Amino acid sequence: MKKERDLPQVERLTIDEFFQGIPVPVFLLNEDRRVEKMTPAAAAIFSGLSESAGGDECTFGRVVNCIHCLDDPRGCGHTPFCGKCPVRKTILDIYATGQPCRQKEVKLTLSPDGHDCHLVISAELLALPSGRKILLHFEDITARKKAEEKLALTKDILDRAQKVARVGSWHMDFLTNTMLWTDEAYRLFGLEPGTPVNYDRFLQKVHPGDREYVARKWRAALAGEPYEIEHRIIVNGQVKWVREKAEVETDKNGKPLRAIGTVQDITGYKQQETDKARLQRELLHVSRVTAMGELTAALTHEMNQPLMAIMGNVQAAQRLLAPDAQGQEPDLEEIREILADVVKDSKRAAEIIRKIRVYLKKSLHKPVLLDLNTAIREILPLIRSNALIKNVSLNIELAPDLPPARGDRVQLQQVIVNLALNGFEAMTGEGEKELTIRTTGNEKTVTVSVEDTGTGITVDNPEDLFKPFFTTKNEGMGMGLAVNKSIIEAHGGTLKVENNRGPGVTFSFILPVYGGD
Amino acid sequence: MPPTVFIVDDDPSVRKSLERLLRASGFTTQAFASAEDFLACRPCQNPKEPACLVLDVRMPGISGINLQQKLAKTGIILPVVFITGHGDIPMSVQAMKDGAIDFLPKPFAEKELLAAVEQALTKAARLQEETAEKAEIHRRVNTLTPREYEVFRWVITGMLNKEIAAELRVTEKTIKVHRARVMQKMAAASLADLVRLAEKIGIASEKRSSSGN
Ligand SMILES: Nc1ncnc2c1ncn2[C@@H]1O[C@H](COP(=O)(O)OP(=O)(O)OP(=O)(O)O)[C@@H](O)[C@H]1O
Ligand SMILES: [Mg+2]
Repeated sequence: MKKERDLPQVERLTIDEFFQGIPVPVFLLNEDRRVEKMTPAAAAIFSGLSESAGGDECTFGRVVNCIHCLDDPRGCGHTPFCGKCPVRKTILDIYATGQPCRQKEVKLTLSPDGHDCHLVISAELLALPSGRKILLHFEDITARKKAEEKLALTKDILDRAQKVARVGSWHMDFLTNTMLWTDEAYRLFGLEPGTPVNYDRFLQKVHPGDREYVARKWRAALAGEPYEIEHRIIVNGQVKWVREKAEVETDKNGKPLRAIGTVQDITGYKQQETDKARLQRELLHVSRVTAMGELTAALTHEMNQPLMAIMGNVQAAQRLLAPDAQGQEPDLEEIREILADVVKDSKRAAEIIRKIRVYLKKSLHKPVLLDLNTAIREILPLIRSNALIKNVSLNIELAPDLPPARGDRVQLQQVIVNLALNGFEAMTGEGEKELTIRTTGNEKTVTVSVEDTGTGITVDNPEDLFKPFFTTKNEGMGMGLAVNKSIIEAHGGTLKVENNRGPGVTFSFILPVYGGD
Repeated sequence: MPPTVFIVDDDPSVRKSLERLLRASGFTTQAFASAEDFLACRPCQNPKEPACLVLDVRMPGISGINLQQKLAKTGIILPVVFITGHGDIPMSVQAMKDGAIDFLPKPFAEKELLAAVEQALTKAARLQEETAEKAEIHRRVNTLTPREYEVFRWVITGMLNKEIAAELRVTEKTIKVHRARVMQKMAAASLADLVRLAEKIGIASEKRSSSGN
């Protein structure tokens, strides 16, 4: 700022000196719209423009109809109607109304390349002794406009891409504890774009059952662990599944500065996965139940009929022989008939049993050479999808060079699936959920074990678990382990169970090596 | 004659042994090899004395469950004890809802069968009594003239003669005469008695709207 005593000097400046000293583009126009004065900055703009218009350096005294008129008295020759030129219109308006123009944004299409030029015009009427003049100030904001448009376009592309991919992204600033979400992120969480958000607001949206898990994983991420999780959120009362990934940036002391993450809507995939897993599970159950069920249904009906007949007959005979039968002699003829029927029905029952044994013998599979690792790999998708649903981490530790066993592949797969299902069903509470399927072998035996981190076994006698129809589950049939045991024993192996040192149990079966004895 | 137990089961051995057992326990029995055979026996479906049905669930042709439904539809009141060789649990639930007495899985002990049959016969007796009583009430209602019937319907709502007279636009005296006839024909000792009779045959005694319908 100038000191007070310099002021008289300023006053002595000529108007030319004044114009030379102003660092922004300013023109002084007379009532005929001729340029009387302009600042160097103004001259610079139009010298640039005049080049593109093919003219020479900017000169004074030209009629301003539009920008190019500064260079060309015939008008710019490119804007078809001078009457539509916003610059010209602004100048004429000011002369007509005397009202100043403040920061008016106008767009001009400048040929020959036809690019858009954005200007901010401010202008003021001066009543000078020499006549009415206009002081005109331009600001060329084309570059800024271009940058803004580009940004808007980039945002639009990002937004559309995110919408298509159903991926939102976010940025988190740890200093201010604020988050920036993309519109798609807002949409995924059912929030109005622009709503202020922070981590707590996000956590509120997470399904209550997953909150603890999500928060734990986030703490781990802040401590440097990778962050890639799937969890449920609740949007307008509906459950959605999302997959989240994030990277945390820290200072050199490991203190988090900011994080960038993505969130993807995977509800559709999850639904498919769940449907598939459910289907597979049902299939499995159906095949097991029908094979067993058909046999037992046929068996029960066939057996119950003769047993009923025998029971009824015997009890009828007992009544006939009872001493209080009104003092009458028992009807011996009738009793003889009854006994003959009892013999007949007993034979009928025995015949049924004989038939079942024949049937069972026939249905025994022929054991073949079998690689248990391969057998396990075949059922992994099924087990994996179950693990996914139950939020269990799955470890598969298959011994390389596992010796082959001898057995029926499908039956042994059935055993492993049964054990895995039991494992999953035992891990419904809190705590780490981990299922490990492991194979080990030596020259005599191969062992498959299924280890869980569930409730463990609480019964006094673990042998009870293997009894048919023993179950502690509401929906359980109690046949899983019974079937397993009979399959393993039919293979000349053993099935055993042990509580782990930590939580959970390990079920394992040991089979003889093929060719080994 | 001892009460009758009808047996329907397609297995001849079972049928025969059940007949023997029930007879030895003092019942009259009549056995059928199929639901169709039973349906063909008209008098069986309308026994004079209390009777019941021991019915196998699964049979070729009309199943036991279907037979029960058919009988229920034609208004035949024969309490049913189901017996089955399968574990037909879901079926049994429906059957019990439809009023089956019990659902006995074969092979069952004599005790269970006899208890169920006794229960069924008790129910049969009660049902027969109720039916007879209803028939008697209906018979009495049928002796009422249309006008008397109308008065009867008003009286059981608890309205006074004066009110009924106003409603029917006749004199109170006329209503008094009609009312006396109704009580006499219905053999009712009191208003409360009359209301009870009406309720037994499902005539509601709520106040009727006076809109004239
Ligand atoms: N991994 C396990 N952890 C804890 N308890 C188990 C485990 N596996 C089995 N059990 C116990 O053994 C019981 C019997 O298991 P089994 O597989 O035979 O039948 P189920 O799982 O109850 O029914 P289903 O016939 O559907 O398999 C279970 O009810 C459970 O109490
Ligand atoms: Mg199981």
